[in-house]
Amino acid sequence: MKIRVHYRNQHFKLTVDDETNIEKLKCLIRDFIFTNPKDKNRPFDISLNGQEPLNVSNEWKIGENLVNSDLHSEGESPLPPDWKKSDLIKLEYTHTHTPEFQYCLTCFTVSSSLVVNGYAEISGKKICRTNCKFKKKLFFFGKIAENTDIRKSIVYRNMSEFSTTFKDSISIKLLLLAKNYVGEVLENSLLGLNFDVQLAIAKYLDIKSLIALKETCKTFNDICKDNSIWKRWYTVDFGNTPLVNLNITNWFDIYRERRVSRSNSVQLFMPFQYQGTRFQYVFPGLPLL
Amino acid sequence: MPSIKLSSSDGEVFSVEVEIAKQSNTIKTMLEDLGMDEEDDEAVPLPNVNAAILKRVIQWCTYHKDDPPPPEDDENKEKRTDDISSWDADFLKVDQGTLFELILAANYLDIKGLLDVTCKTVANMIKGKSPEEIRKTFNIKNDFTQAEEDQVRRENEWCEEK
Repeated sequence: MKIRVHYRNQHFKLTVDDETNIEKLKCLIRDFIFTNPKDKNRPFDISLNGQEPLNVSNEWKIGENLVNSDLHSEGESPLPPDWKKSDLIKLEYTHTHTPEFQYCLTCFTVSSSLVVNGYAEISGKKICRTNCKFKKKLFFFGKIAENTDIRKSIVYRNMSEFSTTFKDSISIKLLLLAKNYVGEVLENSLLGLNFDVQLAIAKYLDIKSLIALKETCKTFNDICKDNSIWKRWYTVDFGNTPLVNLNITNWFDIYRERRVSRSNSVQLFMPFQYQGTRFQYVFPGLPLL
Repeated sequence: MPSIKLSSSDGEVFSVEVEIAKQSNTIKTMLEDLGMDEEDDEAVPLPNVNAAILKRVIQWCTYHKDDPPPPEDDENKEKRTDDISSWDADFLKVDQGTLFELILAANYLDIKGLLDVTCKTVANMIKGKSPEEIRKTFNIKNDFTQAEEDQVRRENEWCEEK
C-alpha cells in the first residue's frame, strides 16, 4: 500500500506492505527526514492511501515519488536546511550497455542496515525492481564525533568488498533484468559468454554441480551434456576401457547407464557391503567373518 | 627492456614490456606474424578490451611474467579448482561484471593462464549450489516449460540418488 506523509504541506510517499508496522514506519520517517535533533519531536501525520496493495517482500519499499519535485522549488524549504545530509540518497543513472533504460536507486538506513531499492525503466515504464539490505557494521565503523558534518565523520571500511557486493546484488542484477526484458543477453554474464568458455567452466565442475547447472536453463542443459565432458568423466570414473562401439554419439547417456548399472550391480552381486569403516561379508546363510 | 604500446577500445594507450605483452598469444601473433615492429611507435589496437579491464589484464600479466607455461590438460584426471594462488584469489575478488569482462578479455587476447584461473573462479561460484541458487547467483532465467523441467529432472535422477 502507499503511505503519504504530510509535512508542512509537502507529501512524501512511501510504499509498504505491512500496515501493522505504522509505528516502525513513523520512526523510520522521523529518522530520515528529521536529521536535526530539535525536529525529532515535531508532530507530523501519516495518512493511509491503501488503494494499491503491492505484492512485495517484507523489505521496506520506498516509492518513486518519495521526495516531491516541489522540494526543489524556490522559497521556504519544507525540510530542515541540512536535509541533504540525511541518510536518504536517490541516484539516477544510465548504463552504456543499455542506453535506452533509466535506472534509479534509493538508499537509506534502517537501524543497523543500509537498504537499497532499485528499478529500471524504459519510456516511463518500470520493468524490473530489486532490493537489498546490507548490514551496516560490515562497512561502517560509525560516526567518530557527534554534531559534525555526517559525511566527514563517518568512517568506512571494506569499501572494495562493499562495492563488489553492491554491484552484484543491485546494479548488475538490474542490468541483466533490463537486457532480459528486451530479449538480449549481457555479454559479460555467465549466459553471455561464448560456448567454448562456458564449456571450459563446466569442465571444472564435479558431477553433482554439473547436473545442478544443467537443470538451470536450456542453454546449460545443452552445454552440460557435451560429449567432451562425459567422455572425460567416463575415463576418470571407469578407466580407459574401450567400449564395444567406438562411434559413441552420446557420452552422457553412456556414462549415465554405466553409473546406474554399477550401482545396481553393487547391490545385487557384491557379497561385501561397505558399512562405515569396514566391509562386511553379507552372504545369507554363511557365518559372519 | 623493449616495450610496446597497447590501445584500449576507449582509446587509452598503455606502454607494456614486450615480454609481458607476449603472454597474450593474440598480441604475440600480431607481433611475430604480422611483422609489427617492436620499435614501432604505433599502438596495437585492442578493440574488444576497455581501459579498466586492460589495466587489470596487464597487472595480472606483470605479476605472472616469470610463470612456467601452464601444463597441458590431462584428459584422464578430474580438473582441480582448489589450486588458485592467494594472489590470484585476491586479484579476482571483483564483481561479476568485471570477472566476466576479464574472461572475455583473456579469451580474446588468448592468455591461457588468466582464462584458466577466471574459469576456475566461476566454477567455484557454481560448485555446491542447487539449480535455484545458481540461477539466483547468476540471474539465470528458468526457461524450461514444466514438462521439459520434469524431463530434465528424470534424466538427472541417477545423480541425485548418490
